[in-house]
Amino acid sequence: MSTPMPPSSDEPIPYEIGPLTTILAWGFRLSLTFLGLGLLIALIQQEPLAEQVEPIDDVLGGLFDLQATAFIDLGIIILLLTPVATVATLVMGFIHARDRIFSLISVFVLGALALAILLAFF
Amino acid sequence: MGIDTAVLIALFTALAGVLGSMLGLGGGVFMVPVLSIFFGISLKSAIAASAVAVVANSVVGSAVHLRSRFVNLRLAMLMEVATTIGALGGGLIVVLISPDALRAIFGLVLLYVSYAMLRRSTGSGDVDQTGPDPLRLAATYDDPATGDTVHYVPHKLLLGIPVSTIAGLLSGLLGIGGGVIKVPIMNTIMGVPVKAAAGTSTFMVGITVAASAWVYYSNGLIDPQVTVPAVLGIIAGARAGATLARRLRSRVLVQVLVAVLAYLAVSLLLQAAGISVPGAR
Repeated sequence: MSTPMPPSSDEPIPYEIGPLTTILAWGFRLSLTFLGLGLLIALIQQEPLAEQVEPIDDVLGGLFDLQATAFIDLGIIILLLTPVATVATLVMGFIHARDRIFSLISVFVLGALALAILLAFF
Repeated sequence: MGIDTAVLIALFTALAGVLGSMLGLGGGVFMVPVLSIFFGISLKSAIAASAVAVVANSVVGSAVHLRSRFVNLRLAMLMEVATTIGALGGGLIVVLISPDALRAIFGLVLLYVSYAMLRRSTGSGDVDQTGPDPLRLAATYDDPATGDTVHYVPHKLLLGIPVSTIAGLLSGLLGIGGGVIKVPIMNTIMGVPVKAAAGTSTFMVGITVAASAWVYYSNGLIDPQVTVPAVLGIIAGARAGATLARRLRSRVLVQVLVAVLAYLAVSLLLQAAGISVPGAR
């Protein structure tokens, strides 16, 4: 029984490129939407922007209270999560291609990013 | 901060986005010193704002570079192992280090960047088309500027990857993408063509900087008053820069910027030494 060879990177790799560009586009759009909503609320409520981001735990509550800062903070959080999502997609792409070496490499990168996010929470 | 200042920040970062995306530098090398020197924003806030804006620049620019097949995803992931660890370390150090020490480091890095850019523009960095490729990192893309199909095989991985840890460390420390180190490493050491190096770097920059930006977030260093105009500005500039990069010849991209970078470097070094800079706040 033959083991599937990992694809060479000079061949088309549609399973990687397509989802990646989709995630990048939607991450950007969603982030921009929340930043725009935050600015709009700040403008309507004549509320100056905060000089510091809120802790992540407080952002959700601020959204329900229609606080401009919470919307802006969420826009920033989504923006910072977008590269994390691209790496997660690459992990799935490499696993799908049964490319063990690059699956492990990309899992390691994802782990380092997860560590950074955990630092932000705790 | 007044709305006029916010608009000026947005306009300036738009320009930084164009240049950053064109050169694969991420824009932070222009943004941080100018925000700090000419807008009077604290260096740590400028670094944090730059980091978020650089992620935005990478998110927008990467999509264009991916479609153009300038991004070598395998090489990017391989190098990210080293740069992400460096970026995490740099992000933690920036919380503790003094602003003057940061200015001095930034100034020295900008001087290096100016030198690296000059070297790049004089045609260093031969592209290898053959050679051993055990990790299947070889890639091919079509260069719209010349109409040629370019094939290359990255080499000297054992030298290039550890050195890119420094790129990650500086990225975390200075809020820049680290492309200023990555692009020359990939081009001059690893034999990756400039456009592929810039495209791969643009993709990597978002991942590298996101790691340190989360550290800035958790330490409250991100100031929305600076960050929001910086993000909006850089988003406006990034797409134009990535598109321009496909059309312009590589040598045209760099030479004009060396003088600007050198000026910013000297300004930061003077400030670190306690000497006032004309026009600085």
